[in-house]
Amino acid sequence: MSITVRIPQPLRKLTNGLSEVSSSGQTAKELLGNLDQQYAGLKERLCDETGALRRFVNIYVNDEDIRFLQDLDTPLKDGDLVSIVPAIAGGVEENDPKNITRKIYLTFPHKQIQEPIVWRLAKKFDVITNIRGASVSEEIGLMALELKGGTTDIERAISYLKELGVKVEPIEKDVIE
Amino acid sequence: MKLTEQQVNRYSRHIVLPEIGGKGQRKLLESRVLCIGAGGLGSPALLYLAAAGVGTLGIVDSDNVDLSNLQRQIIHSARSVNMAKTESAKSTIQALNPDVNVNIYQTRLTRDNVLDLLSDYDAVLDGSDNFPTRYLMNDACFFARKPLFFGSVFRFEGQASVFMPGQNGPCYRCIYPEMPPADLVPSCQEAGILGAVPGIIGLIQATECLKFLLGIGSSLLGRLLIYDALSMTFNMLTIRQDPNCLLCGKQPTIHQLQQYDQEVCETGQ
Ligand SMILES: [Zn+2]
Repeated sequence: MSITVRIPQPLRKLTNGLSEVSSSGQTAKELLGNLDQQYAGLKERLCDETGALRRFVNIYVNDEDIRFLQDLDTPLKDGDLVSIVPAIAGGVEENDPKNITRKIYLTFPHKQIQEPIVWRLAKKFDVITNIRGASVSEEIGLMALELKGGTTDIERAISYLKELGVKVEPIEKDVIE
Repeated sequence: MKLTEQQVNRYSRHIVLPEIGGKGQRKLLESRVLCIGAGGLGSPALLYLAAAGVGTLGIVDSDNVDLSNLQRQIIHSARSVNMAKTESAKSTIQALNPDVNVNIYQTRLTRDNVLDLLSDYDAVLDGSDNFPTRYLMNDACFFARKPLFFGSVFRFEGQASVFMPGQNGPCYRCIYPEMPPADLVPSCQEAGILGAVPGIIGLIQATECLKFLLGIGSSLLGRLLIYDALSMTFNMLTIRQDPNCLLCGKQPTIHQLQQYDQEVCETGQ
């Protein structure tokens, strides 16, 4: 089964610049899940915390808006063309949800273990930090961290960590849930 | 109204079209169109509406011409830098076609002045670059029962449609019930745009507007055109009136113009 998905300009950062990608799914919801596996972060751009589609983004199956079909339960079939269409305006950099949660795995190098990095992170950036697990030895520190906030703030916080020499990796959902 | 010899000559390529003829050309000369913004979308749209002989053009813009506008806002020129966009657009139009009366409004659109402005016009072309103005125009055109020729651009991409209150089609709120939250909208300066993209979209808006004034063809009513310059594709999507729309649905909750208090960028795209 193959479904072609048209990616709008503002989301192509997440698809390595591709304007069309292939994916699969029996329903629109499944498709979004699969797309998110292929291109991490796509789903949170499109759906809110409850899983509902954000009100300034629409999804069309062939040329029909899924809100007028069965919404995220709209069935899909092989060969369907799905378009993601956000509201755009010249003044908008991208449709960047305000509150997203990103789970990351941090590996602290030896020299950083003693530093209160997470505390500094929360002071410096507009993000809420939540430590979901940690293990520290003399040589190395590992931490599962949840960041909540705007995408831009989270991205800035993550680059800051990287600048400090902390290794940052995304966590698959089930690791800490 | 009779066409002068000069007008017959000027508009001869319209007049020879059976869909337009002398009658259609006279209709255009008697038409009144309000253009929101003399920026990236408004510039090409205004130039072609003026060239086509639309008799009265209103231009709303509170901004001055900046050098960085000239990459796409082709109604202005190097001479008009620092001039009001309304003045600059007016002088270009007058040089192009003296048949056109130009009314300029160097002001920001608000819920207090918009309905007054609209009342003088047959149609509205939205060339705004920000969501608050777009929702304001959508709601105002709905209440004033004015057709709205919508266009929007972002980087290499554009959208266009036509909203006609009372004609079974959707309004902008039917498609996007809410504007993206203000903090997701960085300053206008941050958003890049390939200059030719608003050219394409602005002219689609102008074409739809001319068809409406002439009463010909089938419009983008109920359809959303998506243009992607990078892949050079035009996609057509079906858009429907939403029975749950807060403005034009079955149980509307918006009965008057709202406070559209997202941070507002300059009017012109
Ligand atoms: Zn509506």
